[in-house]
Amino acid sequence: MWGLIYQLKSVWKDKFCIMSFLLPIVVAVALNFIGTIDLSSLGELHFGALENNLPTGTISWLKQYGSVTMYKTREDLIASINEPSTELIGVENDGNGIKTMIAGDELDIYRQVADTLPALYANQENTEQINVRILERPDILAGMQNIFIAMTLIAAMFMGCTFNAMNIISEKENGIDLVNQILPMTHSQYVIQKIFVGFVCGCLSAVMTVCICFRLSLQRTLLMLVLIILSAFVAALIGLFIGKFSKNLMVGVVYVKIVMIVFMAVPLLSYLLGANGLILTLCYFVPSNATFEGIMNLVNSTEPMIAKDMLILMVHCIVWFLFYLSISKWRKKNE
Amino acid sequence: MWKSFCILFKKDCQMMIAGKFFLVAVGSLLIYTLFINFGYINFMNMQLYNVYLYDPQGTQQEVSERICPVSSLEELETVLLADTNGVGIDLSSGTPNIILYYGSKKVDKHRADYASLLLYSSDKYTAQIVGTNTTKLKQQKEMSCELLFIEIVAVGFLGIASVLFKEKQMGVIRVHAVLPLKKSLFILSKLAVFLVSDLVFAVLLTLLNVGFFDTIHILPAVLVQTAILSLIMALMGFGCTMLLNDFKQFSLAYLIIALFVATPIFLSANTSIKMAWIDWHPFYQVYMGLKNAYFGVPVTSPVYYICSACGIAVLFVIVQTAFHKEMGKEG
Amino acid sequence: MIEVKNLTFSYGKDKQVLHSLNFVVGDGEIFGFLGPNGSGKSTTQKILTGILKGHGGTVSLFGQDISMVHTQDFFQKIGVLFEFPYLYANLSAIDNLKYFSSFYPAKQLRDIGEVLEELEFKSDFLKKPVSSYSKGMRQRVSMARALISNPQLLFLDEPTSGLDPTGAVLFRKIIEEERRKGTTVFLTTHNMLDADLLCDRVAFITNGNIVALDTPKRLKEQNSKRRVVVSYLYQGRREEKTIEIPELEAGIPFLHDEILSIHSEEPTLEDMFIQYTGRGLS
Repeated sequence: MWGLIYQLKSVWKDKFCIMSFLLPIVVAVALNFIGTIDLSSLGELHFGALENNLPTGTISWLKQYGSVTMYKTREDLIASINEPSTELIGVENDGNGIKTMIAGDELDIYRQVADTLPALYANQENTEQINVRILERPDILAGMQNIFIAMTLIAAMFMGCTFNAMNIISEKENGIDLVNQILPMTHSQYVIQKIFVGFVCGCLSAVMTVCICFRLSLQRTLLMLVLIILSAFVAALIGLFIGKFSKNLMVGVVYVKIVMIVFMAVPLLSYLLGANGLILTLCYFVPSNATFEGIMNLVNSTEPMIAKDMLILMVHCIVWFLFYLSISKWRKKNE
Repeated sequence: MWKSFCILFKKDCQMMIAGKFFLVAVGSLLIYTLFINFGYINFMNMQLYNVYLYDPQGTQQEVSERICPVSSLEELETVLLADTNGVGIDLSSGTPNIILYYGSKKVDKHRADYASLLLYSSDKYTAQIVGTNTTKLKQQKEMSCELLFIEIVAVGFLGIASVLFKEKQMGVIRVHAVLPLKKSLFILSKLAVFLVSDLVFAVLLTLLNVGFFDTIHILPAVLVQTAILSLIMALMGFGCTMLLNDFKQFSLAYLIIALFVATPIFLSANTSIKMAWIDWHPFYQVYMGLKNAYFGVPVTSPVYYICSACGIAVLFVIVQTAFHKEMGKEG
Repeated sequence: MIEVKNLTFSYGKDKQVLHSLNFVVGDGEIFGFLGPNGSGKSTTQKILTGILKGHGGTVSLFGQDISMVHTQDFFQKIGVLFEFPYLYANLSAIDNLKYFSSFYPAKQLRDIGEVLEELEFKSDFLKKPVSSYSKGMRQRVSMARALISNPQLLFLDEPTSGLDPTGAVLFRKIIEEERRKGTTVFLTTHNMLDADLLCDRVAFITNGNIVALDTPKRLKEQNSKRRVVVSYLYQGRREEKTIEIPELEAGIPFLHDEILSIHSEEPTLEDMFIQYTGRGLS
């Protein structure tokens, strides 16, 4: 038991581990802050016009659909239209109507908007008389924010992987690995010690991130806690693997980064691209996929059903644990 | 001096080969090319909102080809649920009722007006094109620029640091302190190796993704910007290696740089979100220089080049000082 | 070859490590710098090899002031063995030596194979990477690196560290051979056996001060108790007596049947060091 305390102390004194622990929390705070920023301008249309070219009424009409920027000269306007980072639509006076200009490299949506704008202007009286019924849907950008927070939570839970890997590799580099081999410590004692450190740190990091980012009911909080515990355990186990198979620190850091990228990319792509069938089944081989699904269900659904995700994570826990034990035994036999 | 430089250059190339750096670069090139040509271009397209019409009484004689008719109100609700960007028109009462899911105030106004326009007008107007790129070429150039930037900032930066940390760990830097060669050659040979590999990478990435004829016009400007970025990142990597104790600390610094430095740049450069302070961000200026080079608008301002040269010179001096300090350390 | 006058050095404002060192090393001499860890030995060596700058006092090498001398020509004339064997772990011994020797003029270089053979390096490891070598083998390759350029001035920092007794004897033989060739050797160590057997003169340094500088023999003689211990047999019994040297000049002043041995109570260098500095070498 006392050994655990010193293991925790060793991790606590490691700046890398501390920073890894704090990073998801900092990102969570930043994301919360970003949530207060109005990002609605992202989806808006942007128009450019020459000064003293369009009537005031036309400019007001354009402002119904998006932002309007005025330019002094035609060259400036064309330069802005051709600017690759904006999808600016140039608007000029054309007798009683308007004409539009585009760069030619826009997405089809903006080309079609530009093509239909003069007709829209000409028929503006007809369009004013229509009835419009707007149906509620969740704010797209709030949804994006939840995705970012879920990714941050996954990163926090999988910090245990980083802690364990770095801890074991440091022991190898300092020669403590050799000392461990001559201590009266059983293999399972060693495994429990190592898993405990990563597991506790990963859980702590994730719990703090949840507290910052979400306001959940008691039931959802308990379900989230179960998800965190299972995911952090899997991550701690994977950290053991990385620590065992890394020759040195640099190799270990690369493996940790690859694992983090896979853990974050697979669930994100699977969610955004709407993976199903065989592809979804394959995605479940990455533990974080079930975690991500569970988090999104808890945050977005009215009736969260995360039993399937918890089951998948439990299977991961058992399979990885047994796999680690068999590899350790096999290695010991062959040494 | 030239002979010493060649010996160091050869040794550094050998270390890079042993560290599989070039293999990783070739792998990255392949992945990027596949992504740009088979992923990004196909993925990055957006059509204007679909418009669905429910007209049970057949009041519309001529329906625009952009309108999709539906046979019932339930079908209209179903298609709108599946396509929440779409716009529904319910003509069952004789007057058009527009139904749509909330997007944003101004976008919804446009969607509604556009949908009702299709009922009244089938005007075929084409906007005047004032640029020279096609959508596909623009996307290829954009993504090539971004991936080149990521490759140099993230991968190259990590590459030079991992090679140097290995040498630092082995202690051979201290041996170079007592060899008959100019100490700055050690730094220069490393910079040269990474510069050459980044330039070759830039040429290949651009040729493979932008096409030969378009590349010829933009390549000189792209290579100039690549060289500036490569030198800055190589010096930063060198400096971090000298100043930080081990690779663990470096990988954290690397994560912070990659995440917090790159994110505002990509947001500002590729979307309409522009932070007020972004113009003071040195990497933003370099990224925009690279992007403008790709789009045939190379930077001509002498201030930019003077600032870049000064920045590189300052970094070099810092690195040289840190390097001399490292040489004097105990094993 | 080396002339040091009032050498001072500080790491930062509050940490002065060298306090006015004065010594001269002649051509072809093996000069020992003995001191415990943290005494300033390595700092002195780094200043002499040009790795550390910003010292006070004057230092001359090859008859020139040090500030004028740290050019490529200077580095071509010196060889340095560091405390730890700094080598490219992924390269073999031959590749490491070929790489480091490529910076020197070809006419100055010795044959790599010859040097490694002299150092009794195992030939089946010649082409294997350094990462697979033992500490002793790495030390041999490092020594080869220092000797390969036929230096006029050799800086050796703990040369026999990590070597078995046979290896240590070999290294001492090689250092003696270098002296016979006329190479000046600046040896920093806290191994008193190396210093005793090899050095023409030794300097004791502690806390940045040289507290004694002389030949090992004279240092011992100056501090000798001038006594001998005589073991002898008398009437079948083994006995020991301690007598003063002046007493001995008149003959053995006691009855004895057979003298078994006579040992002088000469102090070791370590005893001398403790006497001068008040602390041990380790």
